[in-house]
Amino acid sequence: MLEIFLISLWRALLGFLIILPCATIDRRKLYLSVLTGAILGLISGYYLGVFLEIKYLIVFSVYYCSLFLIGKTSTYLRDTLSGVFSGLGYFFIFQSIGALSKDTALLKENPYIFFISVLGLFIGIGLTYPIVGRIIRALPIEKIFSATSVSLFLGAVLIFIDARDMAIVMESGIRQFLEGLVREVFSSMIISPHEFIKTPLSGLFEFLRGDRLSMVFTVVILLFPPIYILMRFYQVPEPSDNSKGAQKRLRLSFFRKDLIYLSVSPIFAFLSVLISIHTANLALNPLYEPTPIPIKIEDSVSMKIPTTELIDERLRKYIFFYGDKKITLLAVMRPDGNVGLALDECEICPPGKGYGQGKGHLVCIYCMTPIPLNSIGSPSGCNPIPIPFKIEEDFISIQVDALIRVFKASRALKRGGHI
Amino acid sequence: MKKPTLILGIILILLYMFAGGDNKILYILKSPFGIVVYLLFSVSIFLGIFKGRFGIYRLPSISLRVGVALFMIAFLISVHIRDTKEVLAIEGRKSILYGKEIFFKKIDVDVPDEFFEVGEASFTLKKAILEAEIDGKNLYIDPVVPLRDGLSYYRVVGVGLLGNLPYGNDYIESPLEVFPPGRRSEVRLPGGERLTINLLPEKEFKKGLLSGKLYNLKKITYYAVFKGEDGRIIKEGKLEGDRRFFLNLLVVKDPAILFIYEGIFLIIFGIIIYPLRFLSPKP
Repeated sequence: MLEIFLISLWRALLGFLIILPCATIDRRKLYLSVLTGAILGLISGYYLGVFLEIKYLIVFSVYYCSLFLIGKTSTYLRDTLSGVFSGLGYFFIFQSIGALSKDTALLKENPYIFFISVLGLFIGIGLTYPIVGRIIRALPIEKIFSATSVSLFLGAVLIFIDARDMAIVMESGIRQFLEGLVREVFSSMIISPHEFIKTPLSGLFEFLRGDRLSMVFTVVILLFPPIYILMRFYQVPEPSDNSKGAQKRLRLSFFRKDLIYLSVSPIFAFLSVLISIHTANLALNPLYEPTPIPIKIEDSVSMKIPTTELIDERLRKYIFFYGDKKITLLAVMRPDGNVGLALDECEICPPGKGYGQGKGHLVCIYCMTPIPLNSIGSPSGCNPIPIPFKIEEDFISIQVDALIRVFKASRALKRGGHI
Repeated sequence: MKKPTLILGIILILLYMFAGGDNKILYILKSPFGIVVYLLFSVSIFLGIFKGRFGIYRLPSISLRVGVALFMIAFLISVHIRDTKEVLAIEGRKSILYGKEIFFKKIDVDVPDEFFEVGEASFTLKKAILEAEIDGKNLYIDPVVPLRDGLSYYRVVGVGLLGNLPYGNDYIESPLEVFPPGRRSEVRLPGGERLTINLLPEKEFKKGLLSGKLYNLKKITYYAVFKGEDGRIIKEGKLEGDRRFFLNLLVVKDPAILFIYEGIFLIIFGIIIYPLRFLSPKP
């Protein structure tokens, strides 16, 4: 119960970002909009669940609506958009809370979970405006937010708080579209690639329907609005009139200050969407970090790892206990069919974090350097420190003293040196 | 971009998002509303060339717009009127397609005499040429570029082995899709039985983690499993085969293909000369 209360409270507090552009509108209207949105969201989430497609479509529309509002200076439009979008924002934030509280209520068989989440919501909203309100009033909100900025800012806030996986969904949709389009275009030109007959442009075909290109398009589409809006703001010419000297300089300084205020919203949108894209990229390309398992010691001289454990080309980690120390080894089947066996540390980075496996490479978790799989077993730079081994029938055989020698040499390194 | 083009583009995107079926693009191009929006979008892109004065600096924009419009309209026509047939080409045989007699004179395939499959090594053919006589004309058809003959286009799209399968007291000739080596081909026999067949490697190697198979493609040996209608295995074992190939020949009749190619060419040309726009003198 405490958990759901804290989640509701935290979400309501995060909602201060949604209230930020609303400092210029009437407080009562703002509270009405926010509370209506939040309560409707909670109820619809609890009884109907979350409609992800509709949520993404609306968040998408709010975000890209900013492109159509460039140049619109009406304060009435700005205030209306702030009020409506803030209500929408709270609706979506609390729709997920409503769905979560229903699942929690069913799991814990406690029907009062819903009311706990409502309590968290009210306390959060109640705390937000008084605390943040004073800070907001100190900011030149009227100069920071225009109709365009409100739409862009709130769209980015919604993406950041509640629709971070929108980038994943978008990337998946773009990839499907590109796959379908490329296949149909190549088929219409009667040059579809073949499985084993070399055909023209087969490399281009694979590139165009790959996930790299779709990720590039996702990034371009998502980052286009803040960049374009910022460019449009800076395209406005500096004021020129007949004033001279100090008066002219004063007018110019006001103009430039206003530009800086206007830039806040696109820069915030750019950064928050960038974080969302990064989260999507990590989700699409997660690092596989296996839990090390104790290595089987045959005798005090050698230890063996069955080669069959590596056939799936997934990274494996093993622990050897040397006195009070743990030596972690990694083993992986390389694409060229050979085994890569090394310590789970490199010559440069501090030991402890080890390596994870990405697509076609290992990654040093400390410095995030990708290491090609075919280079595992070769000593250099950020590569894991190789360990000598032999293949005996169906086993990888490692001499204990060789392992300890390599480990001691690694520990003696002042990181940055060489064995 | 003009507003109508933008609005039509947004409608197309929404149509795509909510389209059903496996192939959303074809779904849009075959639905009446989708066709109307698609055509209007193409026309609005084309009409954009009349905005502003013509000049060399507008060449990239004109080329791109004309290319996109031409491609889109030709693609739509192609989707609706294209007729595609796939024919089995066996050396020395004849076939009649679209009223034309095709005589398959010779098949030239660079299948090696032996193939050693190791790790990620892949089976790739660079040559699969069909020499055919169509209405008295001698044509060389390959898998690289489709060959045009009037409104028909020909292209080799597959290679396999022709197997003589024992059936009762006789033999049945059947195309076997057994490439790349290791692939299983399933053949339905006249009595309803099924035959699963694949190339049998001559030797298998294993050294440590590495394993490889050597296929003799000069002296073909298959491994065949005969199954009854109910899936029960009747017989299985080795089967000797001949090094006789067949090709899958794709024949496409479509008057719009030429315009598809022209549209693509104009788009690529427009992209290449696009930097020309930045050289235009500022007003």
